[in-house]
Amino acid sequence: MNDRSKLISRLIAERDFRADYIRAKLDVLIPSQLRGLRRRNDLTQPQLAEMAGMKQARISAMETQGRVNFNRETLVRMAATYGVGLIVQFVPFSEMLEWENNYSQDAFNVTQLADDIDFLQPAAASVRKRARRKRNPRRVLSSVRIAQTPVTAAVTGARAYMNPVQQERAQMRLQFEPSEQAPPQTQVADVIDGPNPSGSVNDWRALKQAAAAGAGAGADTWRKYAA
Amino acid sequence: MPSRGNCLTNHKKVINFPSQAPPATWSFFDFGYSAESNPVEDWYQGQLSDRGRLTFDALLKDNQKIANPLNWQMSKKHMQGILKGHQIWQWTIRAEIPYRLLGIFGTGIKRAIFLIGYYHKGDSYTPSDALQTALNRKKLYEKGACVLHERSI
Repeated sequence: MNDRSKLISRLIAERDFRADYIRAKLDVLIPSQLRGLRRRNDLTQPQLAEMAGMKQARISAMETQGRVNFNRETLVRMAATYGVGLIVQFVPFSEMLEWENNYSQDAFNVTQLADDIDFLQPAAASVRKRARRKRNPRRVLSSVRIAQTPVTAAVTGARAYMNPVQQERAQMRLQFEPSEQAPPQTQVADVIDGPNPSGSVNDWRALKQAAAAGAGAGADTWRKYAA
Repeated sequence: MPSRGNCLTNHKKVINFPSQAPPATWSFFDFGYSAESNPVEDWYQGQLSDRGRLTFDALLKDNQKIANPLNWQMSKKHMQGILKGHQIWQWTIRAEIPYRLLGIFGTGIKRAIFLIGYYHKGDSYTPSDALQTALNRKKLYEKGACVLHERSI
């Protein structure tokens, strides 16, 4: 009987051995992921410690196998610091092994919230997926931009071009009149082809220019929301 | 800089290209005095607990894929005392107790060699001459008077 057969027979027969197996994987892969995330973000341990509100020694311990017994709260705190999600999921042993085999600290990369278009703009994400499915080269190659309307910027916390007064107004609109005062939803054409200065409110600068010129549907929209 | 065949030339220096691409992953070897002797495997089978063995296997699998060994999960990159300056590093495998493993980088690309596994608490080492033995084995390796057994991962 070879080593793998022995391992499998013991995993089937002994509960404690199964626990040791799971523990061993997590003891190694959680610290490795934390280190991978830090490397991916080009952070030093002191910098991360400051961001997470922890001591550098604790960060170092968390990135080393077996030095920290992670509880859920610690993992949540680290996930929040990096701006990524966290899944704790029961899976078959085969899936756990696959995870371990496919995992590489060097290649480990998790999209952070600020860049997570699928989360920030599900509509845009679905358009992108549809475009990919159709294999239209123009659509696949064109980058999908997040329409930076004041409202989306307030929701996402993205780098907005609004001044502070505009940001405050947008947030107030979200709180009190979310549906009626919000500008029209992003159109598919806007996402694919870019801003549409004539009718849509995606390009506020274009609307502002239209307002300055004093005519057109864009000018009306600008007056309505900038008031 | 002009290139000539399989090398770069710069004034009098000739820099040969590597004959083959570096391997994607690390290879780990156990030190052995002969083809039959493998003290590291004996330590692995005889001294480590189940959890220690499983953790060691998981560590090998993780570190194997990390190109820069500075990012390995190892406890000491430079040893002190009699091992100071000998470029021997230490892995700690934390299970019920912390097991330790001393190793060196081998000649060739992405090769690491385990010299000895041991356990210590305070000044008490098991085996008692673990550090000196590691040093002796390193010297034997440098002389080419040893056999390496590759660990399967």
